[in-house]
Amino acid sequence: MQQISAEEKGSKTAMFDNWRGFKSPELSKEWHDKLTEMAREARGNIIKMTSLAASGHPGGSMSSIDIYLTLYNMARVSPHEPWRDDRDRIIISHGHTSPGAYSALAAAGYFDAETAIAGFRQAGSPFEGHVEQSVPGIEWDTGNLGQGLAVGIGKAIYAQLSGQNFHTFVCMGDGEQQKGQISESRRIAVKYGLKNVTAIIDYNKLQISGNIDDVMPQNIAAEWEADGWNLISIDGHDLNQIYQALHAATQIADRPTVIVATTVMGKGVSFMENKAGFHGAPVKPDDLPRALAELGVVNNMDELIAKRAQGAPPEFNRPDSGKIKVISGTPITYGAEVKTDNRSAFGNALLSVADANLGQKDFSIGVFDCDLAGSVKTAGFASKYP
Amino acid sequence: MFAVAETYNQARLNDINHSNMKIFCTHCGVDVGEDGKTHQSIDYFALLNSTFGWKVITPADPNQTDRIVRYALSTPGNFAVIMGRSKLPTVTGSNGTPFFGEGYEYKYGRMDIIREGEEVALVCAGNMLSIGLETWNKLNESGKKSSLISISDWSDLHPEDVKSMADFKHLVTLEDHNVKTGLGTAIASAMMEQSLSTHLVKRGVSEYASSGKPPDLYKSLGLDADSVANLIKSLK
Ligand SMILES: Cc1ncc(C[n+]2csc(CCOP(=O)(O)OP(=O)(O)O)c2C)c(N)n1
Repeated sequence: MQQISAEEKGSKTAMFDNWRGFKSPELSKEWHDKLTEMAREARGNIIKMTSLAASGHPGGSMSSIDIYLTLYNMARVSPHEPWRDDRDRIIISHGHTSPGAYSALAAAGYFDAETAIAGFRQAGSPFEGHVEQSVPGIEWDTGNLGQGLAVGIGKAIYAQLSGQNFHTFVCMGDGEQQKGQISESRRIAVKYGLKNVTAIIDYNKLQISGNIDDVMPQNIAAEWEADGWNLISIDGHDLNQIYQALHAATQIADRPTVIVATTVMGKGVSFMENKAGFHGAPVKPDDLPRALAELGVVNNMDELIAKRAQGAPPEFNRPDSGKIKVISGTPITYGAEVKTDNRSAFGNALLSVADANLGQKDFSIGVFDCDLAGSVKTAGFASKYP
Repeated sequence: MFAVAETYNQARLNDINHSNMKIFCTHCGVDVGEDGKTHQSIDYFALLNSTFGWKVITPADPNQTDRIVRYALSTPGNFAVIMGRSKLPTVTGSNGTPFFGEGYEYKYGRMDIIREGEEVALVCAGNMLSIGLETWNKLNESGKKSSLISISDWSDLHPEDVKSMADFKHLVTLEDHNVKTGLGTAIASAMMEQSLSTHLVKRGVSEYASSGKPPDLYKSLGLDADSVANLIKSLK
């Protein structure tokens, strides 16, 4: 399978500036075909990985995979420098779809697919059960549903405050939409006009216990729209539609976009499609050859079993995330006669540190409170740095 | 309360993700007072100490708060600085000048000896130091010699500090936190790990407190200067 194309191996600046980041409104025919082929192979890898580990989540991985492949191949990210500062941030909030994420990253050239398959959910392996940063390209460890959007919004606010133009994409499940933290996050994104964040919902209409509406009725698209998000509804298995929606989302000038992508759980294997049972259970060993044959991928399970028996794959090297460059300023001393509260001393110190760092390169500070600015002494900061 | 107990799993995930989050909590424990037990978070330490990375710091007075805020903002990692809303006197050294002022250098993880004495040491967590100082003055007036120690960084007790605390015949810990899972318990565990021991009396929040003025609440919980001074006088 294609790993790293020749032009990608060239200048990293060229790779970022020319075509990545959904600049062109259409997906090229060449990339459409490439992604189609990657998706077929990746679906096979999802099945192999979960079967080999005898655990994991193939269903949602197979419904999200076309979205993952489009993002990891077309966004401004690089398999050669997964942590470069100006990368787009791709957060997978429904972290149980790790087989999908790892298969897509392998297809995009981050590591060898067989290493991920053989080491999936194996003690000591970086390829953990829910997406973890131990795997290059994974931005944030998740698994506790409902938190990815808040993280994405934190990153988008960071970009806005520090004047960077990377985009943040947050992939989510539809059952996951039941979590309350998502609605809090949605409102923050609209309040701050975060046009640099896009949520993509895998709308496969199933979750662990069955139909999402039976588990908890909700009106996903209407709820996001009501909070002020730009809504785009697509077929989440049509690569052209996925690409075009991501392009449109990065063009909106004033608010965040949510893409509701209608998908099929277990997509690609007839007996897995639309079966909630495949949310969190691998294909039975007897059915495995049939599943792989339907996808037209090689059945090399014997080799993979042997590879797994060799032990967990080694850890990846990850560069140090860097030091915090904050000047601590000149301490304020309260005399023996002064009686004040620690919280006021905190408010004064916060302001003093902000003053001391004003104009410093790479310094930006965001202060958040719980609507108690007067009480928690952030009001001084807020009035000087609104 | 709103910053940690309400969001514990987010704090935990931030730790797993090696974030550099700084939480400044302006309300701590029973000191919250009139808003009552739903608002009195006595679990900052126990919650965040259940992670491996979070560092909990409870500054003792406005001067130490100033230094600690600057330290937390300029140091990588996750920090929770837990303060309080009551107005506190500036803590002074024996010479009457601010203890945490000019010439004081904040060193994360080290205790501060505010007054030196023998046999009994009163170990105060963060903003309980003002009550500790009041207690020490009462004991001093009545001729009882004791030491007064302040510990702001409960998450990483220094082995040397633990060792010197074990030298006292009696140790009394005073904290505005759940007495089951706070500083006293952390010291006891650290001491045992060094095969050291002493007589320890833990004084902290032993039940959900009610709504009222902090000094009245402290009194009802036996955490006021008179109660602690009487306790220390009774230690033989
Ligand atoms: C906060 C939280 N609650 C419950 C779970 C257990 N859980 C794991 S996956 C899942 C269902 C998610 O459904 P959906 O988002 O539709 O994903 P899909 O089934 O499509 O893969 C649940 C409830 C969890 N991981 N986190």
